[in-house]
Amino acid sequence: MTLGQVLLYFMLYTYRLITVNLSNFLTGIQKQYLQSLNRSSNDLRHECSIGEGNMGEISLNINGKVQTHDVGDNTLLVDFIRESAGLTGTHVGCDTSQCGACVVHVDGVSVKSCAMLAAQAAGSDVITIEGIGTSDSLHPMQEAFQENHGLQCGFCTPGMVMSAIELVSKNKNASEKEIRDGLEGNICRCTGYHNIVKSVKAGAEKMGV
Amino acid sequence: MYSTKYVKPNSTSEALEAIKSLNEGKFLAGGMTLIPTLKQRLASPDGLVDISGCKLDSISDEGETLRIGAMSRHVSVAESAVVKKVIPALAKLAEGIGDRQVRNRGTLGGSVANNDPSACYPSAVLALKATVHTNNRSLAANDFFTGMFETALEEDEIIESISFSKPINANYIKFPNPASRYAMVGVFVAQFDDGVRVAVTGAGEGGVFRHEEMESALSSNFSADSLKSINIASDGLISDLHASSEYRANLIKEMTKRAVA
Ligand SMILES: Cc1cc2nc3c(=O)[nH]c(=O)nc-3n(C[C@H](O)[C@H](O)[C@H](O)COP(=O)(O)OP(=O)(O)OC[C@H]3O[C@@H](n4cnc5c(N)ncnc54)[C@H](O)[C@@H]3O)c2cc1C
Ligand code: FES
Ligand code: FES
Repeated sequence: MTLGQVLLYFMLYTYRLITVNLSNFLTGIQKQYLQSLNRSSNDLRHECSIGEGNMGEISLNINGKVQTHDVGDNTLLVDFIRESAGLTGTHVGCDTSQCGACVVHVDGVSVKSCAMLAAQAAGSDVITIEGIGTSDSLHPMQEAFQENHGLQCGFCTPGMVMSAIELVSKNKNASEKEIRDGLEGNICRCTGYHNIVKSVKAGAEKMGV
Repeated sequence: MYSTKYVKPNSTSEALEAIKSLNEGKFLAGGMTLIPTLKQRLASPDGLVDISGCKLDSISDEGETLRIGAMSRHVSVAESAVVKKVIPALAKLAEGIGDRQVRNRGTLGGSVANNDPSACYPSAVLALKATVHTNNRSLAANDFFTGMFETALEEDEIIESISFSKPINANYIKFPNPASRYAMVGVFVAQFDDGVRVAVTGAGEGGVFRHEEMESALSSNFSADSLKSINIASDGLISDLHASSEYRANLIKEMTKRAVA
């Protein structure tokens, strides 16, 4: 192994340790440091991914409407949704594949849109939180979250709801344990899991799946 | 993320051509490891060759072996009727990877090519005497993994599928990291006519490894009791903020006991 390789592997390994265990790190100075890292990586992402090099048109069908935008090949799906299509219901919580705030459905399958390129979804049907209901006519799962206090600040909610819809459509009688396991990829910073689980159960009944 | 080019060929041969035309191209499978790496600017490939259109996702029972295409997503392996029937331990392993969204995207080939020391699949590849089929050769599991994040794969080599030998009996037990679900320690035990194989992931500084002492103890008596007198050395085991090497050594024995129980 060359020194370069050793360094790269070390970086990869520490990167994973840091990101997957963010919660263990978030104390005092480390928290501030990570926040500053996060901020700068976001700035960089927006500077670099949209409108830079290798431009080409990417078309996605988002919530039934074809959206075609000229973006760089390195544009993340979440940026295409939020920045190009202007649909800001899909959130970015961690940007490191941990929190699930960015979950959308691509061809009926739930994915973390911060860990997928828009180009990988080209030609697909994408459904975001805006596509499942409106403020006047909520989706049954949204209604269930509202009625069961399944949200506090609401930041994790779009992702929770999108994950929950897939979960109950695969397993209509999901037990509490199955719901908790099924929402493994969604983190609620307000830690309202008790009512989230209740909401998902109620949502499954309402959806009549 | 640095600027890069994206292509999505329709066959392995086109993918190989595409990667050869790039200076530092990378194959993109599920992207669950590669995209976060790119976002952190830890790699700057001049192009990404998405292999999801290369029809590498079939799963077939081939008599002595079970062959799984490299692009098979974790969710497909977990839910496959064939895998569940032929090697249920493999379906269970896939079901335990990360979370639903990671399983919806992540692939067998990506996991094995990446050879993360805490990944689950490498232990199955090693314990189930698997053969890794690439575009130009077939590699035995023992020769495939060469160290942490290291494999025998060449730069422009693509894993097409992996054949797993069918065991009499197999089980995978992991002690998941509570935050990521990666294996803090994972043990894959497989019983064959000619002996037992025990592969350990999550623990070795050099990545996945076989534990020969436990293999011979279990080959003569396949029971948790036969492991009693075995002392697992902590030398060469990972020590980090989650667990010391001594703790991991203890987990190796405990997970193996549970796997054979
Ligand atoms: C939150 C989270 C939790 C996770 N938890 C676990 C866990 O519990 N257990 C576990 O085992 N894993 C876990 N993973 C990793 C996951 O299993 C990924 O699927 C895996 O790391 C990489 O697979 P991929 O298909 O996404 O590969 P990619 O990210 O697309 O590629 C990874 C690397 O492999 C190369 N590659 C991909 N396919 C091929 C091929 N066919 N031939 C040659 N090279 C190839 C790529 O060029 C790249 O270098 C987790 C990941 C995340 C984000
Ligand atoms: S923002 Fe995508 S998983 Fe957190
Ligand atoms: S409701 Fe605040 S993060 Fe979940």
